[in-house]
Amino acid sequence: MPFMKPYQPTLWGILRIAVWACLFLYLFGIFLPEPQPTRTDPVDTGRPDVVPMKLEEGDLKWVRKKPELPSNHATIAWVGDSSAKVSGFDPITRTRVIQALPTQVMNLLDRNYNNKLNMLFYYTLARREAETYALLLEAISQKPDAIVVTLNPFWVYNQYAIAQADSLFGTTLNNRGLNLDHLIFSSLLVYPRDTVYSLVGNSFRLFRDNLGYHRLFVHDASTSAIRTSSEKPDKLMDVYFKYPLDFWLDMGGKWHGDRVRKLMRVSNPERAYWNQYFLRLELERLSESGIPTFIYLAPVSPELMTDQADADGYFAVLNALQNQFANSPPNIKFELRIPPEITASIKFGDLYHYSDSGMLPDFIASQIQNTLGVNIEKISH
Amino acid sequence: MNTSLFASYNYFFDFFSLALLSLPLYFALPSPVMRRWLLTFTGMYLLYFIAPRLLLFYLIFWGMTYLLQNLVARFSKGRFALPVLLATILVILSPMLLWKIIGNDFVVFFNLITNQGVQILSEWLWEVDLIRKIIIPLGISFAAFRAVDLLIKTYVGRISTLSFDRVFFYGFFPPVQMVGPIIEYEEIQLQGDSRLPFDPQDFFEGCKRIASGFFKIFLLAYWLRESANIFGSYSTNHVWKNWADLFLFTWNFYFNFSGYSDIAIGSARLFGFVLKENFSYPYFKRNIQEFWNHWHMSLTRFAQRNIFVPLGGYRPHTQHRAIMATMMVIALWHDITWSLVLFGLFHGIGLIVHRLYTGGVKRASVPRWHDHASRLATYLYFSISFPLLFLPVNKLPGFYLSLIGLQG
Repeated sequence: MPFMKPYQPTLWGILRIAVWACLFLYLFGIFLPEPQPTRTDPVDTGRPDVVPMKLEEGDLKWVRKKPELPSNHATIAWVGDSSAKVSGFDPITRTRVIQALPTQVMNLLDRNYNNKLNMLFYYTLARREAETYALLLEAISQKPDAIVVTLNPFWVYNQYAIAQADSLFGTTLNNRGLNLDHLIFSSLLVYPRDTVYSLVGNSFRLFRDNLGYHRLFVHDASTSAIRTSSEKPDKLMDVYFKYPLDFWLDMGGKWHGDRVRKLMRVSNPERAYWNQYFLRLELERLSESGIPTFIYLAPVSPELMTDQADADGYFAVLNALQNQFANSPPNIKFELRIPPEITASIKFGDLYHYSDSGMLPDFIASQIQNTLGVNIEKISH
Repeated sequence: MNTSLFASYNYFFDFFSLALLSLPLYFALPSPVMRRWLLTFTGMYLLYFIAPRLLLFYLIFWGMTYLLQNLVARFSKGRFALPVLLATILVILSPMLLWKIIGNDFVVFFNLITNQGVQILSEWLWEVDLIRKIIIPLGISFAAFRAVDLLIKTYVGRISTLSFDRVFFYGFFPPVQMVGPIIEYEEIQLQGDSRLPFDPQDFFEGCKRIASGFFKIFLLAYWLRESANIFGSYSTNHVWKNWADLFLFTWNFYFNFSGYSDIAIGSARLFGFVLKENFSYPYFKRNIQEFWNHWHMSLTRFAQRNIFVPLGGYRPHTQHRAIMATMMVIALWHDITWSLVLFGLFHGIGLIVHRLYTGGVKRASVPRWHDHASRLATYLYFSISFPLLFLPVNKLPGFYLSLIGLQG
């Protein structure tokens, strides 16, 4: 328009625009309606004091804030994966969970702790070691009285699956301190956008509650905006595009049992450099925290041992873990070989999911009670 | 057209995140060489985050381009000049052609072979590569044509042999790695060889352009997103809905495509690079020639320079052949299918008819109604050809019959 002078920006002018934009975003966050709270990963704990902590995929916060719990209760943080659930759950179709293992353990602990225990359940499906480390950082940050970590023999040293590609564990790294390890971790594994989102998210609710606002205003913009063609890619390739593991291990369309057997066979603990690195970091952080920790390797079905190659793979994982944990700090208790009578009592739905957990909850409850010595004094007040 | 599950906006979000560091650093660096390497490493790092195997592929691709450019320069005079040029072009185009011809089998081969290459270089990076998605050779159509342009310009003497860092700078220039425009080396040469200070005007213009791109993609194209279902639902739709969806989808496609071009052009502007335009209101042009001069202009410019002119587009007895060849290259750049052959023929014929009708002379002035009618007719002509970009040839009769109510 002839009566308007074109804007001539200066460096100072641009800085002013940036400051105003930040202020606007901040105020926008204050006055915006509260979005729907995002869901946690689908795990049915069945008890309000067993709290799922991991938020659904795509939420920049990654895990929820610590729930308000009675201060005279002891808290246990449990970092678990699908083997910390019992029965009725199909990891492929993601159908309903019947019961979480921590719930079963809590049911047993109630008797001795007079219902004054809480459990923070850091559960995620097919959890890889990068996520284990990040979730452990979150768990430690809550200063629980004890920590339980479930290691999955199929993933713990699997070179083909060191992290879930779209994971947002950068949030955790940003919030839990900058050190050389986290810099290496972030610069090689965390998408730059996730690092910036999570840093910005600390100050702006609009970003922090991204998923809630996304649902409120936009629904599914991202995918529809890009996929302009209705032509569907070839089905097998479609699977591969979504699940790289199926492609690398040629597992497309195979039965779940065969898939995990293959996972075990390709596990190469000696050359799993990233996973060794994550395990080392986990031990370091646990050692620094001084929190009593119980780490166990999830029991597997005896059926796995019927194949020599699978059995060899399993024992290679076991030996590597024993070596790696050989000089572990005193606050960490390992149980890599669950007693045979415990394993024998478990009914397996497949190679490592349980349809009946048998005496496993009793065993874990006794470890928490006896070995970790959860703060009885705190509970009795 | 090949569909990709790769989301280009994530690429740009990563780029902008890195720009928080790289932009101030770029203007703080004292020498053009360091500035070029900074942008080159930024581009490489962005590819690494898509997948280390993609980075390895492009390292080889642009390393090869550097060698082939030297080869073309060495043989630029003498009887082997043209065969050498054609051979080098074939080498550069071969990954793109194989992908477009073989399709999924090439994608499997591409991922496996590059992943093995990464494993040889570093087991640590190999493990990272394994968690990245399976990818098509992202950006190869843009990269291949940029590389070919470099070879041809070296052959005709418009560009002297570039140093290694300049070829990599051109190859890994972050704004245009994944989306258009298909830039020419000269577009980034001046800024790339200088150490101009930060210009707030450039930064401001860049931001405006990026905002315009996001507006097109996430508001306008998103608003029209349902129209993209037309090629799956035309057989059950009413004839009027098919027409409406077809028109809306042409706009959806335009907003997406030109939106990404805006983001790329704006991103380059942040660093002071002024890239040529890629779209200029193509749906409002008076004839098909004007349309093609304003739709994906960087591709049209490439085809004009390297196909149309050498084949005698400005000579009366060879112009029609040159037009047809040019349109065929533009069509088959998208993908190699029979539908796109028809697309090339349709627009080639349209351009030839237009040239015969006008005699190649622009009319000085026309009545306003004629002007409007011409614009509408041009848009309709393009819209009718639009399904050729998306549907396989066996589905075309059904689709076109549905537009006249004879199917469904």
